Amino acid sequence: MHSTRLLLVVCALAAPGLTQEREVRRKAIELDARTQQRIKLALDFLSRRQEANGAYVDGIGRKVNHTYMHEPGQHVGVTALAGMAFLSYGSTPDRGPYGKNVSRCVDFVRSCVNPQGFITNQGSRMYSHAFATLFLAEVYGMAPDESVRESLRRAAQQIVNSQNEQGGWRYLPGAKDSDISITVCQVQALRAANNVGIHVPKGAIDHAIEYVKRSYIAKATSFRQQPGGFWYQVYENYPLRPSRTSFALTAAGVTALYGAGEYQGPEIAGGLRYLFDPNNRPQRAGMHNSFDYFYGHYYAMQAFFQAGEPYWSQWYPSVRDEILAGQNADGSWKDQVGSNYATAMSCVILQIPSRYLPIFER
Amino acid sequence: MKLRVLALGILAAWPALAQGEATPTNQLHYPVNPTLAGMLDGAERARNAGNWKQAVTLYRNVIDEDHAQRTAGYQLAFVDSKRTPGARSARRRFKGITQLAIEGLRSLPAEGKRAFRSAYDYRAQAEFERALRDERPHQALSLCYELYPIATVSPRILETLAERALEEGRMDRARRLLQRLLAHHRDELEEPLWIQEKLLLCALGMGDAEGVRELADELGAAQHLEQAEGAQVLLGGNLTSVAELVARALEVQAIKNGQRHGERPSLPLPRGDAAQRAAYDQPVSLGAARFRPLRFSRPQVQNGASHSDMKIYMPSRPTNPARNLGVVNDGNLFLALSDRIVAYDLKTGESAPPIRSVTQAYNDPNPKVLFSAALHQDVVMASFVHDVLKDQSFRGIPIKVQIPIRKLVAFDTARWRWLWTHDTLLRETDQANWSFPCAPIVHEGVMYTSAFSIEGWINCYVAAYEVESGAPLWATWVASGQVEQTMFGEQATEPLCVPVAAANGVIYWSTSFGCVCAVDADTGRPLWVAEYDQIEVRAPQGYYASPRLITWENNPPVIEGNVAVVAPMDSNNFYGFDIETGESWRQPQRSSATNADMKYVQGASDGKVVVAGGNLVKCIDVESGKMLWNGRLVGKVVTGRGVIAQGAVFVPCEDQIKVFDLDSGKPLATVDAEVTGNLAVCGEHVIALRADGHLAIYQNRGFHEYRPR
Repeated sequence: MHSTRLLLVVCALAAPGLTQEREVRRKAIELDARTQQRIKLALDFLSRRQEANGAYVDGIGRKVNHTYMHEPGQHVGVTALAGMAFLSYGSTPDRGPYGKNVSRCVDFVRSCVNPQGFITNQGSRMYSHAFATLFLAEVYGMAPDESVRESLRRAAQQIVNSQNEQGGWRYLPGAKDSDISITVCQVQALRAANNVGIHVPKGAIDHAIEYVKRSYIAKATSFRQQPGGFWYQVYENYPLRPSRTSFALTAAGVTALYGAGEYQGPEIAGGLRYLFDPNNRPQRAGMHNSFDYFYGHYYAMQAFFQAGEPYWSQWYPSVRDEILAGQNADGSWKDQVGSNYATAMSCVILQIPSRYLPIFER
Repeated sequence: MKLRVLALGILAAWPALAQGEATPTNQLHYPVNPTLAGMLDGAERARNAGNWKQAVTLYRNVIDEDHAQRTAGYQLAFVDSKRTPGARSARRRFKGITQLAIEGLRSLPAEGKRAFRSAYDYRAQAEFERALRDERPHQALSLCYELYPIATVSPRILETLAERALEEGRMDRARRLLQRLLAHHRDELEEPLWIQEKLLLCALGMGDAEGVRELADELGAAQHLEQAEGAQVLLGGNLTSVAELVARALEVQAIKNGQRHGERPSLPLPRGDAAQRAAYDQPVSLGAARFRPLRFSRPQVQNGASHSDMKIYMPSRPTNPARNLGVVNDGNLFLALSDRIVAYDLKTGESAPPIRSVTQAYNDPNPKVLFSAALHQDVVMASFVHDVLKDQSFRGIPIKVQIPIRKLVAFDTARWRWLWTHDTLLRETDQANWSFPCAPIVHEGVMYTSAFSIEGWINCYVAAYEVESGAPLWATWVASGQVEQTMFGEQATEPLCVPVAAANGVIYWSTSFGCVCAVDADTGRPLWVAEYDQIEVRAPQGYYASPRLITWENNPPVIEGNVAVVAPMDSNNFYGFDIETGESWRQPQRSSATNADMKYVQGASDGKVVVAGGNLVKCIDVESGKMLWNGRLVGKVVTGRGVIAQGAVFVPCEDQIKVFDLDSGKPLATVDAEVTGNLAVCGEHVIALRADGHLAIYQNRGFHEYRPR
């Protein structure tokens, strides 16, 4: 009895210390009036662009060399991102200024869940599936609904079943090779599903994190490599196919590690240094004529948000100003994928300090 | 010191080895539902504890839940796994959730069944009455039986189904339903003799002389008839002699097999029966060709680099694997190609009036597709290429490759016009994007086939359709897998697909995606799904896909006795699966010298299955999987699918047909034949279809010596 009480006292004394150690030092940044107004303008743009069935039309396709080869179609991934942009503003299904939009996004995404649990429309692939699963998880977390849960359960099970022996994922479910970009999307979707009570085997996440860590370039051994970056594909798996690294891939890698609860380690420290290096930061011109400017910042912003200081208070204002400077008069942004995609991504990035989306929480 | 290093090495490698064990060769995605499996577990615990009320409630809830999720189809539960020494991953076995619940309910003792009836009889009766009014009563009644398998009304449901089948003249279905009635509800029947009489009528209608003899003997004994003047039975109130009944059955059998002189024969299924056994109960003796070989299709090209995005088209040669099988209706041979149907008179070789095409012209280069058809009541059903997914490339590197999308079509041979096409029929349904790469089969008057859809995964389905209208009856998602991919993550080849087989109301299919399944023919309920060892699908190396080396030709499962023998195209081995449980035996790896060239399942009979390929023929015992004999073809190569006729195995080679004794493997004869390839027997004709599009019809001299065994 005496020893139990002693143990409780020790635990109670130790608890604040433990909590403090896990807390991140981050300067609170509130959205200023100008940013809020611009976000509103962008969300209004998205609201106007939504199709009657809830979908958003943008380019469905693939990266080929340095371009995005696509055909316009009702894009389930972009619809999910637009839904996340509305959720980030605090709207939930049928509630809030964009509640109707969120509901319509949910309806469209759910209509794209096929009997196998794969979320697809007009040939969209694993990227779209992951964003759609993430969106359903966030919706279910903010406004629980049994029908959403069933779609989410099947979508998450589909991700788990399609993880390959490397621990990663690729464009198609069940593919034998993997890349870090798609892997990180799936990890984030699985984590979001797990957060709202969908069973995700721990081994699946652990295996994926091993893959992400294997992608880390600890030491440069050739001119193609830059320490701190993350490989697109793990080099030793594909000796015949030269791999590469980039800002977007590294941002994805660091975010995946944070997402899996890895808050320290050489991969995180090195990755953050890489991302913070001005030489690696995407050029402003890429905002309009590339396909991964917003994608890179989407993950980088999450990474620095998780990292806190000294990065966060410098990174957010700088990127915010850069993105706001590229906004069109109608409230939209545009890149190679399309204006709905770029606008939705921008809205999500700019609203990260609002912390409405559970997935961005530490 | 060395030992220590070795031990350290093993220890260091241990986690990797363990991980490797857990990783499947290729990812497979099943409709597995752990929640429902957990509920089943709970029901079993309650049953074992004697808590009948809780057990029946849980079983019923599981069945209702499984049926409520019809958008996703039936669900599966994991049963067990088995590891083959040296294999990369264990072979898993699943069972259908509803099937497990039905088995659980049937195993309840009398108190448990009473608990079920007191709780659910009222609902079962209401469902039965609703099903009787349904526009598709057979399907509705079958579903009703599935929902309430041990209710008081359950025997009546089966009896009603059997009566309706008898009225429609579907003797095989009626017999199967009556057998189920006796198997599961014998104690509840008021007049079991009446059921036996109906069974006898079914056997008579089907021309099953052996069955008639057995059933008549049983019935006579049960009727306690005086057997002084030869065996007799009381059938429909009349005293009939058993010998007369057997004679009538033989007459029916002769008509069905096209063995009556002067009649124009029919061969409704190209491999003889729905079980795909290619076994004929008549002697075959190859005579002269009826006419000079005909060319039934334009010169075909075949993709020399099989299953790859690197296309090397080559003209097809006579020694290539034959790709065609035909059906015969009223003396006319119908051959389905990739885009049209052609017909010839069996006796004269004259072409029938041309059949207008309903699709675009397409010369199919895929060497693994089997062009075949099925026939039912003058309707020929086949699969045509209706659309081709476009290819796309970047600086010569393939992004997408052409993938044909095939749809089923039906041609009415009596009116000589098209009856329906799935291209238009399924356009507004959830099967709009499905491809049907194989010919269907007809079993008990219903058309069954396999299909796939490409939606990220390649999803595999078994489906049933009405012959007359092509309307869907049910479709079951079995599993999803993946084929080789291009560097840009698109499928680099058309998914492989083999036809289904059917026996006793169960459809069997080897998916070509790592598993074999058995589903109920009435509702599509999965009974079991069992895996086999797959050939690994590798990631693209460099800019191109890495094609698998696929050696088995397109072989449907063969059902012989209690075993489904499969030679999956995505595996190096061949397997026998117990048709009740899905448990399997496995023949060794293709790397062994005796299996190196195996390509075709020739046929099965008398508990034996014959496989052949290269210059080797092997006979295997279907129960044990053990090899009984093997025969060599000196200087010859097997070029197609043979047949088994009254204990003789006919193996087609380049310009000869070799005949072996099924029991001993002893070579019986070698017959020179200008055209060989895929063989079929239809009464007094032997049909041979060669890879390069040539057809020959030989006289069957054995036809005149026909004596039923």
